[in-house]
Amino acid sequence: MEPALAWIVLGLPLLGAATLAAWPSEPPRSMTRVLGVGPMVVSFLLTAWLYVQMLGENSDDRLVVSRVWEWIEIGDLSIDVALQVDPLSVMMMLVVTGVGSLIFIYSTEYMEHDRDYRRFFAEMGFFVFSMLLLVLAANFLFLIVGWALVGLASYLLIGFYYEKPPAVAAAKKAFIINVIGDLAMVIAAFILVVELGTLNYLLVFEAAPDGLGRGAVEAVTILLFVGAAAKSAQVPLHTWLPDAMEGPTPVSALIHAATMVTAGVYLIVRTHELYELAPYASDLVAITGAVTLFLAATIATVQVDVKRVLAWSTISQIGYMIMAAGLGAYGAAMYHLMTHAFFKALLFLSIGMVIHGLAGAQSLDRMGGLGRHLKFAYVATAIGVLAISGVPGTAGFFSKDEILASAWDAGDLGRVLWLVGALAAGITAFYMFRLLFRTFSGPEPEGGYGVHPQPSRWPMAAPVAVLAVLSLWGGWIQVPRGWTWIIDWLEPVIGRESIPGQQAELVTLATSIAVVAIGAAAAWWIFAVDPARPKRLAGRLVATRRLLEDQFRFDHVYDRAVVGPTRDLAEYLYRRMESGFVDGLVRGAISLARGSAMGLRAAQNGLVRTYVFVMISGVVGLGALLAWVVTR
Amino acid sequence: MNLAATTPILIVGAGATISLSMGLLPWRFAQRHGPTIVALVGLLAAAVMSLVFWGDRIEAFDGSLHIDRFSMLLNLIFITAAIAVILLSIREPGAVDRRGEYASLILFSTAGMMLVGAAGDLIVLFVGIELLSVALYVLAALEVWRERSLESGLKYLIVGAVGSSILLYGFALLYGATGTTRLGEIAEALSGSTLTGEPLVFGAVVLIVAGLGFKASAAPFHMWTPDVYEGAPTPITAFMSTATKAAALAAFLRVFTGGLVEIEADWDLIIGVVAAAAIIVGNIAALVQDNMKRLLAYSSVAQAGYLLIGVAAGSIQGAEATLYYLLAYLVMTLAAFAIVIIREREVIDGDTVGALAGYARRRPVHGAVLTLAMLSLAGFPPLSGFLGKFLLFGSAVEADMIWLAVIGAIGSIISLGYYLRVLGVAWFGDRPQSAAEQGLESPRLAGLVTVASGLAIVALAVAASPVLDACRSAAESLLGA
Amino acid sequence: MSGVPLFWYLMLSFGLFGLGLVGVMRRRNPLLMLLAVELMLNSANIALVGFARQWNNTDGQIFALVVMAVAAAEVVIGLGLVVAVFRQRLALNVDEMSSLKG
Repeated sequence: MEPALAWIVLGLPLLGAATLAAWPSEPPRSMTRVLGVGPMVVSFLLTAWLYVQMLGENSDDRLVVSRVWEWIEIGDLSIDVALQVDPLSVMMMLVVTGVGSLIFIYSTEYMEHDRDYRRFFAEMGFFVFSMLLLVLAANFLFLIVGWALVGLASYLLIGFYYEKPPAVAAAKKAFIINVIGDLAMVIAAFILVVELGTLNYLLVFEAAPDGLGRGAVEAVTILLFVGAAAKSAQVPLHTWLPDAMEGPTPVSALIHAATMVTAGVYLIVRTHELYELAPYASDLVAITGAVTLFLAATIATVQVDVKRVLAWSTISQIGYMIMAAGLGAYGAAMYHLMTHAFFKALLFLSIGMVIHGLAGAQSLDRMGGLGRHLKFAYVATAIGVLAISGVPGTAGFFSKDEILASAWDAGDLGRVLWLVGALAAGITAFYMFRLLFRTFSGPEPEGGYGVHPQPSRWPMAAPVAVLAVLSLWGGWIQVPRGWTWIIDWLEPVIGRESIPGQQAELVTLATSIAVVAIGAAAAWWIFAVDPARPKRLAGRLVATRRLLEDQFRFDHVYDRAVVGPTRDLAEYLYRRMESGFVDGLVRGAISLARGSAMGLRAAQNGLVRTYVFVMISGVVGLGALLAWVVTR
Repeated sequence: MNLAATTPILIVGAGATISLSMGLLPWRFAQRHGPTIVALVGLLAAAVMSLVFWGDRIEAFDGSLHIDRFSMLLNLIFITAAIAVILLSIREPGAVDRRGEYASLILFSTAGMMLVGAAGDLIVLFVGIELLSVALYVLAALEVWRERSLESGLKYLIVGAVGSSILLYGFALLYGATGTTRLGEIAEALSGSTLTGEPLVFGAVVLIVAGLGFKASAAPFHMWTPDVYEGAPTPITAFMSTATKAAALAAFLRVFTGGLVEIEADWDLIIGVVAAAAIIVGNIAALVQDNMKRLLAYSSVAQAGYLLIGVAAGSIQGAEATLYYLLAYLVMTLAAFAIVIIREREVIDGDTVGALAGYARRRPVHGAVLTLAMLSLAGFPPLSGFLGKFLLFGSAVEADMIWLAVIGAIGSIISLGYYLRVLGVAWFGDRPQSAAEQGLESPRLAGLVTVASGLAIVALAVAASPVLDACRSAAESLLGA
Repeated sequence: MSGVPLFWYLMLSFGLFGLGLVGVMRRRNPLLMLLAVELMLNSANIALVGFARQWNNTDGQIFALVVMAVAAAEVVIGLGLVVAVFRQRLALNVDEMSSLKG
């Protein structure tokens, strides 16, 4: 195995991005395409080669740390510039560069009419570099560096359309919430330095069982989880992700669905040695994941913006992964991370074809009946919907069921979480089929589409086709009672993971098929069978409520008729969570800071006398303080 | 040998004098460019000599000057700042109007700073501080036709003189308590004592913290800073916020970590409190500033707080972190000010945040440098500002001052509020291009300083190891190792 | 130590320092403010000389001499600035020089 390959894989996207950025003027589009897509594809091929090489090694030899130089040495603490190449990082690299390449190819067409073509590819390349750094880092410091850099790239790309104020606001919000997470991770790193004197993964994991006290290990893991929750949009740090949909659709697909937002899952799996020592933190992780997956699924049922539906579904799906990771089912979490990357990228890209075809429209109210015009996008989206809903045989089916089955086997808490997850699976099927039907079937919206829907050309269609195949068949790499390639592959990193028992498998299988069928059928009955039904249904309820006269409330009424209490909950949650807790906290802190700033400003009145007076007061204050210290 | 070791200071002092007298020469070229050229040559020669003496350890003039790695490292900081500022000033109206004196005053100020860096004696320290301050009073008021420049200079002079008096009184009390002005002998005299029975030392510590805190513009002794920074010619503001800050921190380290180390347990808390106050006040007040110079002034108050964390830690580790952060702070601040200076020459009210609207898009390289500088100032990983803060907070934790690290971390988050706003305006802001902007000249020397600073920000992070080694050995030389 | 005890030197010095401080805060004319600052610097000088007598070494006296030179330099700059202000026909009132604030 040649670990130097990892350095090349890491460096190529940065090189491409730097070349694009340094180009003195806007380069020709063909050149931008070559410099943007080329490094990505080569990186993917090299990663694949690395993977093949690794397959040829004994499982004991599959973990290599490639150290280049010692970055800093402070006392006993030494931090290297080093990459850790092991099955986990290679798996992440495959996802990042593989899905990344497809999305880059797609973007060449999708962004064709944007004047900032070069900036787009430069920033995307920078993102891929940062993401690869995050997954390849061999110590916590470079993990944090990658962690912060993907946040920066995400900031730049959410704010890509800088002339739109909501985009700039969303970018800022995402950045600040992510910095809170970064800070928590820095503090965790501090504790590790103080307690263990090293930040190197392998040394930390080796020393942790003896070197870290119970309290310290819980603190470190909880702080790391704050970082993970911020990056992976888990409750209550999730509010930035729906807003992040202000970015271009390929950005949403790559960063806010397939790769960056799953970094939190990666982090927990990477540091699972610590989480295994911290039962409370692990439970916290699992519960947070379950709460998130349920809340986000209910909220997704009332969204009208297609991309926001997908954003909430992303939050929900990552909730599954986080829950699995908290329950110790690391293999299942990584498995779902991979399949989710396939089908969520597929959904974003195929919905992106619709948005592209409609010249930027994103509201479900402006869609409907598009299946007739955009057959390819229809089929692709349908495959994505099948996969995310977990229809048997698709990628999402295998991975989601494995998470649920693992939960079933994980004690009392696991059973509760299993129930939540299974319920949410039904809701997931409901809202995804709702999205499908409201976009592609039924009548055209009143007033038409505004433009004639344009089918997409091959650079957009081809990646979508590849992802569709992966979403359909990509789940077969691990089959219950059959073979366990993911678990085998990750064994050098996460150890031998026990597979769920037969009872768990069967109960989960039966339940999930049932809830998915119910969810899908409900959506089908309301949105697809009879185009007039929504109106009729609404009409019946209008009798009781004048409110229903309002055309815009239709959506609410259907939902109420079907999922009644869930809908109310969703509405409530949406209002509360969207502009609630964390945002309120952030806003409160900001207004406090602003208020104090205005106070300081008033004190700064320009008079020398005031300044001297404050200075003397400072001297007196210091004297009093020192007197207190001395006499204490 | 004594004289030889002081060559960097002597060269700068001689350069200042020669530069001043260039105007007497009969040739037009010498009158025009002579002062600047002499000054630059002198500074470069002094830098070379500082490198030559790197590693030597000489107590010149009976211990009143310590020629050690600490002073040499600081020499390099001062000289870099001075060179950058002279380059940034080439087309400034104040520098053009007072061609003969401008460079010379900067050199005198630099010489004062170098004295502070090398001071082994309270008298030398005081003279150094006054030499640097007096030259700066003049420089701040140099654009005499501008009311604000005059106001800035006069305010600086009066408040500064009060600050100097406080400091001097502190020195007097310290002398009264120990009977000597040599820092080394003070350390010996204080060994084993505590403040409880020593009212003179008690008073000295309070007054010296206040006086030096004033020079470093740490809260609550910072109030002159925004006014003076805003009113002074911008290159001078850059000089004050980089070199003067470094000199003040050098004085802190010399007096406290070097001289008063024996009673560290007594003063670490009050310096910690001053640091915390500066971090909070600076970061919060900066949130509502619309003028870049004021914004950077408040940011420099906060940065003074971060730098003081390393002093409060009272350890070699803390001094090392402060020195590294001084280097990082020097280049990030220079980058920011260079861009403000470029903008001031291009548009009216160029020193406002609004003047940067869309600037990063129009000059992406400068935009990248500005981004690096702002993110590094905010402590964004992996830039040098992050590494410096990491080390500073680490030294605080090591010294059992976890609360200080926490306040620093909170301050960093608050600071994102304004640093990010600058970046948001520069990248995303829109501004109708005025006719004056159409035929932009290239910013030449100021552009050079910008790009060089940007590269230095990156270099300090990438090559952190050798730089940290240098900082460590400089910090060790502080305690006579 | 014969003659006046150190205590009285220090009392005088403290008194002058306080006087100077009050002067800086009360006066509006920059010239008088400079005068007050001089008072503060020289109060430190008295303390220095007093201590020098007590310790019976010359460090404090040397320090005091140096301070005198420094104080002179400061006053010269101050006078220069006052003249510049005067030439711009601005009021010689520090309180009116408060356009820089906030």
